[in-house]
Amino acid sequence: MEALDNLLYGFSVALQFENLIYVFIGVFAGTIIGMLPGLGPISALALMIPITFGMNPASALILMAGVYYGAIFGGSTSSILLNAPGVAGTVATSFDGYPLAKKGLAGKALAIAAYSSFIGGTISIIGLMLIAPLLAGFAVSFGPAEYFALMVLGLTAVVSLSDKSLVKGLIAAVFGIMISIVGIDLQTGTLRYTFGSTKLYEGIEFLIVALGVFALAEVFVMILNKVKKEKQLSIGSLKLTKQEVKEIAPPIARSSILGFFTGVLPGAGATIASFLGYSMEKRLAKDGNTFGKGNIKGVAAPEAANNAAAGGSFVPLLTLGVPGSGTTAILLGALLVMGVSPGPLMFQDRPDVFWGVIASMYIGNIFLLVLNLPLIPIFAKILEIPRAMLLSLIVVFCIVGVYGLSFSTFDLWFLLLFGLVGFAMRAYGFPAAPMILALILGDIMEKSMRQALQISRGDWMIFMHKPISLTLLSLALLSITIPLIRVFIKSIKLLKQGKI
Amino acid sequence: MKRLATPNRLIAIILFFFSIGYVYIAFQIPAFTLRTPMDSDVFPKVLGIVMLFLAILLFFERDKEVEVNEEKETVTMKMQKKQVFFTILGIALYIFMFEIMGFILSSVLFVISTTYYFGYRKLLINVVVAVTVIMVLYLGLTKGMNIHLPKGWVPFI
Repeated sequence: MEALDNLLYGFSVALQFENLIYVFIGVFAGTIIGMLPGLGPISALALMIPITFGMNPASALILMAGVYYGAIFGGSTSSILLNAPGVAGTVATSFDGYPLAKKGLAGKALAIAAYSSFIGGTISIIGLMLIAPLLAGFAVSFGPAEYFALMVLGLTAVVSLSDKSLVKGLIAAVFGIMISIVGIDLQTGTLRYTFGSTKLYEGIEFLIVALGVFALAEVFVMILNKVKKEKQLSIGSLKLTKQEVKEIAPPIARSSILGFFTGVLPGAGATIASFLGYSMEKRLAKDGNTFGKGNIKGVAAPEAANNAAAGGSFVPLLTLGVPGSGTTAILLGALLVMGVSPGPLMFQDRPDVFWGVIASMYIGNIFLLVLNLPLIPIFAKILEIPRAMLLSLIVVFCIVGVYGLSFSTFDLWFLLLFGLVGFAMRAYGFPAAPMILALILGDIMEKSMRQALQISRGDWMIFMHKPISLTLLSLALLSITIPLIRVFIKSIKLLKQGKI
Repeated sequence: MKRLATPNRLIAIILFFFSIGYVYIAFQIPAFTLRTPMDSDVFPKVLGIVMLFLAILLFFERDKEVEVNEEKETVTMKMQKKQVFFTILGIALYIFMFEIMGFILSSVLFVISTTYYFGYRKLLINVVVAVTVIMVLYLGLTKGMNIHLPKGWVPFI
């Protein structure tokens, strides 16, 4: 009852005309920015901070929350239409979203992404409102050992998606971690694999690898598959049949809940949530072998999960003052600049900010759906551009996206290198997903492992002694060994039948 | 006759030597002056050894058999591979000239030339789209979002 009263108070703040305009601007700008590779929510939010100077903190946070949601959806649009994820949390969407677009079903994929994002976002807002204090308490109990175990689980879950070859999936994952540790080791100051180059001191940016391995490699693949004069396929209908709605409803529900709880964990964020959601649905689905070939559940699950995680990441930010993701770290910075200190006292001291943000997230979510569904045919016009022109424009967008990060052509050469790596991976059956996730998690994994060992004074058994860590590591082991056991049992059966 | 040098085996051999090099470099990483439960070289060593082990597993993994019409592959695939090769060269040249010529000139030339090369022959539309898209992108990023892009030979914009 109290939550409802608070929410109504929040709506009274969020529904002020000025704040409605801010939500609209935020969602619209966020969507456009999210579509551009290299300009994800973090860049967009960072650029918004000076704009919010002098604004009421509630209004400023409302604007920035809109940008956050919008950017995540915008990233999905470029993932689906161009196989060029604009945002890390939308990489998993491209696995089935892009194949759907190639089949002439881009409209359906985008519509599913919009509905899934809306539902995922709504569920997470309800969760945020109802159980934020409880969840914050649990999140605090996650120490370094638990985080390490969670990262391992996230990685192994994704590796086990590579049903073509587990070994190749593991190789891709290990390679991703190898890339992630290039640069200065922040704990000791030691240089690792920089080969004397100062430009590698800060390591290799995720975006360079993602754009190279996905977008640029896709350009090479399209050229190789001889699509010279082909006209682009139409987007198809945006409408979903009753059967399709029935099919995607359970994955959306499950992935939203999974995404929300994952987003609550500081550091986990939308990326892990989307991969875990995808992985979970692939396992549960009867037609799991069609994932990666244009299965609508493969779009619904990660989209619901990443938007739910976006909402979940606000839990530690607003209740503890601890950002749940890189993006919420920027929001924290913005709040501090405005003189608002998020944390347990925020409930009492600034209820207008806290509940205003929650209410505006409901509104922002609705705006996202209302705004983006009618615009899908316009977004999908991108597909009607002649393929020859689209290929060259994709390259330009990738170049601009990477240059905008560091203003250095050195990174552009790396982009090309990873484009070639991605192309080779596609040609020889190495999955890119484990590599990308490992790249994001590698650094955090090492840091968590070290912190855990420092706490335990070098005792490696800490990972077994902590129940949550032990559970997560056991699940990770199962996710790798179960496919191997299945293959082994199948081989024995075939041997007995004399087929080998 | 069974092919000995299958793609998996070739990649496995490359990865094997890569892993050896990686582990060797890991052993060159200097130790931290203070005692720590896990120094900077532990993770790299573990990764290198795991990769070595995976390379060996990959060597023994069966390649998936793929039926190929060899005659068709020679004629068509060679042409497409040539296109990929020249595209890579084109991108390399674009990157090289990016800061010298500036974003606008280098990007417009890149878009026009690659679009034409990929088979789109309507030159006027090609030029108009290239110039328009690049200019909109440039203005949006530089004026709208304060992201610096090199001016190069077009300093008056």
